[in-house]
Amino acid sequence: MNMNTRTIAKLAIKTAILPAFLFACSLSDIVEVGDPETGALDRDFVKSSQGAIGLFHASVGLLQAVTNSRNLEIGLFTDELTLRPYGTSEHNTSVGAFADPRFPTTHTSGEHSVEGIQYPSYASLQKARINAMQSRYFLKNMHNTSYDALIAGSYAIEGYTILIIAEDLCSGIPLSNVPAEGEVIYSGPVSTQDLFRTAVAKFDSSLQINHDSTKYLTLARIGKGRALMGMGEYGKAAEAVADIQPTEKFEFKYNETVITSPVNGLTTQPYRYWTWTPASPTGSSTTRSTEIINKEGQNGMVWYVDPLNIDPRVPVSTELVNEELKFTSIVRQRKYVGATLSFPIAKWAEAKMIEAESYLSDGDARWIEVINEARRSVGLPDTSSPSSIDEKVDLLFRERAYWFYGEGVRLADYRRLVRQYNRSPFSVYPTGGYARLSNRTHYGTAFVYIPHINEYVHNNKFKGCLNDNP
Amino acid sequence: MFRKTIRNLKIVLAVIAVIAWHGAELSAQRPASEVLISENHQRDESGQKSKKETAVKASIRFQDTSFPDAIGKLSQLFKVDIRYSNSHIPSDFKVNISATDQTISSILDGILRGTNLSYERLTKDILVIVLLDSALKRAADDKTATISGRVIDSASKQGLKGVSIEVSGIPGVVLTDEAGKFLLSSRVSGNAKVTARLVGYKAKTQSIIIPPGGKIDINISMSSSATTLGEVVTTASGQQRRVEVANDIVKIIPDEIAARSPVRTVADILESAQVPGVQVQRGGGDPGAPTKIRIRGISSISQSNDPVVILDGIWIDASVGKPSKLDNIDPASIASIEIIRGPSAATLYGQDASNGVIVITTKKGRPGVSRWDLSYKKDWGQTYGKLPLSYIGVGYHPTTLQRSRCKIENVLKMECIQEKVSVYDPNDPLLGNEGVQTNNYYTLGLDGGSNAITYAITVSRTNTIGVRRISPADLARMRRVGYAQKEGFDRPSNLNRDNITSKLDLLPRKNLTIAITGTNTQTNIRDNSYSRRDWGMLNGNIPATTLVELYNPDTLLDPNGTHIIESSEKPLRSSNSTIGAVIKYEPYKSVVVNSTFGAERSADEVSEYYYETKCIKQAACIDTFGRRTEKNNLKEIFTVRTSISTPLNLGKIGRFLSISPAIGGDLRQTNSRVVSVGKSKVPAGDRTINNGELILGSTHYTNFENATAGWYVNSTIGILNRIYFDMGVRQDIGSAITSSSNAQYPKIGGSWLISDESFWKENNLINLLRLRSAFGHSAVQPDLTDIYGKYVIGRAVVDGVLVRTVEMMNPGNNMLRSERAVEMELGFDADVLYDRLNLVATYAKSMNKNALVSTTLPQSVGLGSGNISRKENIAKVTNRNVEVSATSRIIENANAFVVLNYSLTLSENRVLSVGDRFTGGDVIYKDGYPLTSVWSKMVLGYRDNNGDGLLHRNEVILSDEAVYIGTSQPRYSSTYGVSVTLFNTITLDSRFSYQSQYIQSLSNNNFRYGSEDVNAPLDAQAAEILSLTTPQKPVSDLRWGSASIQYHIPKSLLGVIRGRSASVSLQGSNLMLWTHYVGRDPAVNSAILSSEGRADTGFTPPTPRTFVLDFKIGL
Repeated sequence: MNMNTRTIAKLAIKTAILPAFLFACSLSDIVEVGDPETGALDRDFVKSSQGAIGLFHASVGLLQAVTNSRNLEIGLFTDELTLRPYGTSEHNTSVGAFADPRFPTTHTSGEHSVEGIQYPSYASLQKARINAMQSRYFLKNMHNTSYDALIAGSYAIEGYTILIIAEDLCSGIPLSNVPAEGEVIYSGPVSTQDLFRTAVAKFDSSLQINHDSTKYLTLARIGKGRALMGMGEYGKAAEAVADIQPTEKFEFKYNETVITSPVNGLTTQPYRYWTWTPASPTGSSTTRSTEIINKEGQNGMVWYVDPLNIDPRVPVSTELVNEELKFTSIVRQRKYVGATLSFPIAKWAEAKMIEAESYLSDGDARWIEVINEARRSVGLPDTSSPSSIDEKVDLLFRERAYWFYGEGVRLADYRRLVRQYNRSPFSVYPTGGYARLSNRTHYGTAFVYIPHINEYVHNNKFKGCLNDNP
Repeated sequence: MFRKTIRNLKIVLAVIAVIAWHGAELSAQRPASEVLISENHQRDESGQKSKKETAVKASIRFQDTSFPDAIGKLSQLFKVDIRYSNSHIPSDFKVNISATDQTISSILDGILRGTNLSYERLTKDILVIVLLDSALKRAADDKTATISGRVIDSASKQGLKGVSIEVSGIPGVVLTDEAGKFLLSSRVSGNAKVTARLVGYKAKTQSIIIPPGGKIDINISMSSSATTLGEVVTTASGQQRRVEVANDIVKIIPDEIAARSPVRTVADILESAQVPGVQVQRGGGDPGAPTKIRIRGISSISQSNDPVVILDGIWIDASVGKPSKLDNIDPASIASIEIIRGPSAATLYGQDASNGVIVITTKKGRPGVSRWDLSYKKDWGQTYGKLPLSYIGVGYHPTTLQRSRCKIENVLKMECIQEKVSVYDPNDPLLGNEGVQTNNYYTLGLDGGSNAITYAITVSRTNTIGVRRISPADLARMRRVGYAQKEGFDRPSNLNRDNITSKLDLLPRKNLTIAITGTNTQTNIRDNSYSRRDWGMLNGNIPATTLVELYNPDTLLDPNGTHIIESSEKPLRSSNSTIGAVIKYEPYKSVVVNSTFGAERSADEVSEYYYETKCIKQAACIDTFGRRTEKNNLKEIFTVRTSISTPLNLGKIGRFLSISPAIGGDLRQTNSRVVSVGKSKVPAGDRTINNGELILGSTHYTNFENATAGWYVNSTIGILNRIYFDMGVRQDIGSAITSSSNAQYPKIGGSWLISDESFWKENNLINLLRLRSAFGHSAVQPDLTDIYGKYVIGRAVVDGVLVRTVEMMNPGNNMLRSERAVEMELGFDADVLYDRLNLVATYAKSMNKNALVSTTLPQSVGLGSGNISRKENIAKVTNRNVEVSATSRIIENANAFVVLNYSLTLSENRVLSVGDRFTGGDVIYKDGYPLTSVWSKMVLGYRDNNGDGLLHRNEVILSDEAVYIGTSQPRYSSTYGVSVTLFNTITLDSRFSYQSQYIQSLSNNNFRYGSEDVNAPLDAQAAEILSLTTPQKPVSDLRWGSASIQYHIPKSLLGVIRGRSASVSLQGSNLMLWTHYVGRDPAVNSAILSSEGRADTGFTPPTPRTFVLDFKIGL
């Protein structure tokens, strides 16, 4: 009724003024209509503080969703996790994007086809980045210092999304842009080094802003350190993370009671990938279980020696699984067992590992002290420095593997070992026997993820990865 | 407030009806003699002094009044035409006279006293002021003769206006006046020839003898010719004859079409009219199935190609849907339909007119006693054509082992290991789900009125029970288990439609006319998908657990077998109302102000109740769960339109030159609101927690407005009644067009009646020839939603707390402009071969610049997964059309009248500037190829290596690249018609149509032959393997579209029932189809509605073959 009353009133006015407009050549007022309501927001709302904060929250939420799936993805890609075959009676199983994390497949879209492994969270990651940029645009327009922490946060979140892109994806990923008010700008390929450099710049911008949010400060500092590590700038990296305190951290928190909102994917699918609930040992027909195995693909880490005497950084347990009345014993991770457990993104241990690696690169013997300082914080005994440099590097990356187990860092470490320590990828990535489905006996040949085929088809400036090598 | 008004439209219409009824009664009571007098008055052609005129006396007072003003005043006062030559009147001649209660004769005597002027009465209402004495004497010496006369239509005996009269030996031409009269003087005498010419009539030449200095009065009777150039059409400059308009406008009279073809909708009329360049595409043979109208092909990639539809001056919604909005207009209420193709449309109708304009004018009441027109049509229809066998593969996924139906592309991609293939024959009579369609169509027309008010009311009712039925197998199964069948359950597809159209024409003052039109249509369609069980099955929408059983044809036929029936019942209610007023006001002589105000409101309510019925062995069938969706669409279009046109009075030059300038403006506002609600209903005792509850699901609504306003100037210039120039420019602005890109649309056109030129040697090979050419711009504007970015609200857990998020879903594109079509057409109209053949040919070319294309955005722009797209002005589309129509009256005498019709349409388009290859969904656009290109890989070779009689994927070598194989639109189509009228009582009519080769996709890939069929030839199997996803079939079709026999009851018999006219006819439509297409009817399928391609889904019933009995009577 309101719409029509309003319309009629408007129409009456327009009818009255139409003849006047006929000769005035200015008809813009006469065709003025309201914004379309299509379930979408009014544009003015987006420009308000609520809208800008909403955009920021969206970027955080999206990044959180990305890391949820990414940690599993990278776990499967590397030696952290393996999917366990479900026995002979396995049927009707589909694990979607996680089906073949090491096997390049051909992706087709219309006339185009691309070989590789599409990064499952590619779209969300880019979206988190753009939302962070747009939120910052509107927040800055408020000219209110109370939003400074969010502005700094938006830089840090944006920097972190670019950091992940650089770490996980091939070289040459475009960083297109949709300004909040302006035209769509397509980006051409950006090399891995330039991505790290851009991430550092974003973290620096975040650190330039005075604000009271320690978590974004931590994210920016450790993120910057990590990006510099990716560039091989160990000294600068150590400088960036100097004096990070053990209590400082940036983490994603979940809320188990909120079931309709985007929450930790690990908790919404607790029986599928990470944990096994004894109460429902048979699971459903879609159940797939993840398992930790030692020396996966011969290069893999020895994660446990005795499941009863484990490293506190990689807790495991042995469980008996009922597969169609056939009981099998498997080893599962116990790092994430509860839906409300926070997910670490930036933490003190990483600062320590960066510091240690910086010392090691300088040939400074203090590197092992830093390693041991970190180990002592979780009650582990000290370890001694090996003599050869290769063994030292092996020890450092073994420590990193334990510290960052299930945190999506392992692929970046593989790539750094190849890129910065001249290791052969075949000695770094799992390459040997592959105990998965019957038709797969060995690991695949992919070293990095590629973007979604959509990018190949619809971005004329992107012709493909610049470099697929690690 | 307005909604209430609209809602009460029925009441308004009822009031109009009451007024009209009252008017009818009044006119019926009026003595017949008065009416006769009135008619006699109109037909008075004696030229004698009318007693009525001379009896009029008036009092006047002129003081220093200029001569023209005084004469003008007198003309107005005494309603006579006083003619004089300016050269005879001194420029300083002032009139000073005062007269009381005097006749015009005495007043003129007084004015002219003392001058060398006098006057003569030429006819009862024409006076001529002439030179006296010496001047006359000189004229007599020169032997100047006066030639006067009148030209009438041989059939109606009415005077013809605008006839050009040429007398041999006298330079120049004169035109007849409103009454058909003319007057000219001649200094020559003796034998001469008078030639009368009027477009639409055969030229007539009479021999006369001009007496020296004397007078001669002649009567010329003209008979109509084959050409339709004399028809009056609507243009920016007002009502013009077609000959004055530079582009080809076709006018259709629905009653003429309905006399020979079974017509129930406007789409039926457009199809039966066989207008070249106008294509009617059918979405199916179900009652109310949507139809799509295309005029001169398509030129827009992403925007609507629907023409603009104007009903009595107001814009109405003509979007494709079920039912089609166009079909909510009652064909019985329509007086004429004008189809405007090409460049002239934009000036008057503005933005969005580039797809052509359909101008519908409803019937107007005729003054006189009330007339009743009743008609009743009863028809029976049945579909024909066979579906090919379907092969249904069942297997499992090689990796996941998931059991599923193996579609052929899955098999070929090694995504499905096929275990078993079942053959399903959809033509099995036991499974057949089509019966006899029946339809009743009643119309009642009433019109009448007086000279001051006329009314016309048309009421129609249509009831159709469609061809769909529940298959005998299903019925038997359900009956066996005692399933309670609802009424009409076995005939699930039907339509009821009620229309009322009222028109009131008021003439409150001589210079003011008001026409008010109100229409209301209520359509109810029931669309139950029970009978489409096979579609659901074959499309794989069946739970995997029951898959094998379902695909076993034995189970299908076993009435006791376990079976799940998917069904949805979809009641659809559509309501359309329009109300509009056209006001024509002539404040001054030859200044016409036209204003139109109106609104259309269409409301659709669709609710779908979906349920699964499970019939297990001998147990009763039960409905196991349900889901309900309801959707309400509301659309309102408001029209405000004003124009001022003023044919300039050019005095003497007016004999050679006419200029009709016009200025106008209009505003159209569209408000659209869509509300959809999803609900779930679960029967009590079922397995969910919400047993038996009706759960309100998501409610989604969209609401947007759009307004477009524009103004234009236009002028028609006529030279010597033979050459016309039509030019104009329009400026538009719309909500969806940014102010920086205001759109101006120029046009210019010329029309030359070359056969009227003096250098044209009259011959009977070409009796009439008109050349024409037009050029203009028009546009299709983007949608408002294409411009605005879109943000939505979501939720996320941040720091463990649930917070609201805002995400950009689409950046929109605020740089969008309207698609601009630049159009040009050339053509001619000719009457040839002793006026027996009328030829109209047109070549039209258009270029759609800035064509809008939906481009998918890469994910790096951060809009998330999925193919988010937005529109960009990146493409160009060229369109070329050749349209030819020929009408030949091969026999034309009192006993027989035989007319042949032929029409040809050649249409092709090309996409440019989209780049080498641009894929939008399944459609490939490539520079230089048609908009509706179909691409496919090629079979390079095949060999049955293992000799099993079946070709497998690895036994066929396909090309790497897809190649262009054709277009889904026919390149040319033609129609043929013959109509024979014998003794003015019996009319026989028959029509054929042919469409040249076009590519038809069979989107249901079970709907095929060859695959896994050892009996299929290898080349057919290879062709099937070629079509990895969708088999493409090139098809052509020749259709016997209609045949009818109509008997007009003779007047002698009519006297018994005191009727004006009556007829009975038997009509048949869609009688035969000749095609090599494997399937049923390639031209009819539901997929053409969603895209410009054609894809046969296999289970849409085609248009039935229909026989109609039609009774008409006029009282």
